[in-house]
Amino acid sequence: MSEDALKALLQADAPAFPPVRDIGFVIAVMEKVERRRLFENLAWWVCAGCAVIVVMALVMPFLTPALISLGDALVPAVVILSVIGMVAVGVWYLRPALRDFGIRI
Amino acid sequence: MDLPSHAALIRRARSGSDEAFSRLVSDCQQAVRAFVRRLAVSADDADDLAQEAFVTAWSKIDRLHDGISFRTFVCGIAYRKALNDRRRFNRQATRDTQWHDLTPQQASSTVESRLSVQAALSQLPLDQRAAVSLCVAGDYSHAEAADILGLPLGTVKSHIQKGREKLSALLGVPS
Repeated sequence: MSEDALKALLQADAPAFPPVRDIGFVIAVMEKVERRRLFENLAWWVCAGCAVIVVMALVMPFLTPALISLGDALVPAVVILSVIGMVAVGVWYLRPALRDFGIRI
Repeated sequence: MDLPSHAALIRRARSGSDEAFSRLVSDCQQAVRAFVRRLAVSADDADDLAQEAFVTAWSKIDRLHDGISFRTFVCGIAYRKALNDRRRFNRQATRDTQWHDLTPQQASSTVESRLSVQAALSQLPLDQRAAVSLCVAGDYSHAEAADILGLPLGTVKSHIQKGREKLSALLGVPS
């Protein structure tokens, strides 16, 4: 059998040839791509979360006493800053109403 | 195949464009599936393998070197997957042969021809089957086949020659 005859015989095997355009196949591939992307992202976030947990578990026993003493010292400043912040937000949202009373901020 | 256009699509796919990648899949799916269908016995299994090959190509598209076409890249991945799944394919080939022996042969001449071609192909070792599928049944150059199969050019030519001789003998057509 010549190569051309063999080629013709193999190429006559029509069921071996899928259609030129097959949107169903493309959709199936993209669905698997999305699934792979989801699993990769999920794996990345799980690994990152585990790393953060491990670091915190190692560091926090040393940091906690320092944070507690620092926190005690900062309580007055935190309270003052919180009140100022709340007043600022309230004033910001009240601006239109205050404008009616002739107060422009 | 429009290579410059594919090069642009590959660049876009590398930068994360799903639309570009889906166009590459759409353009190359026929060539890849036709190649894989000749390696596998069942068309459904072949399509699953082709889909997995495209997904792997998506995740490894950064490794696609310039000058290698996308279909060559995906066919190479599919061939390596087929090699890894050889044991599964062999089991399926055995089942298919048993089923073929049990089933009354009263199909049309086209179906008989297909079965004989498929049966003859399945008698070849996977590397020879792949080389013949690419260069005789398909329109791939010997160099492209060498890239896909990861073999030296001389080995690919030898596989094609041996595969052609075996196929000719199995199909019973005189040289």
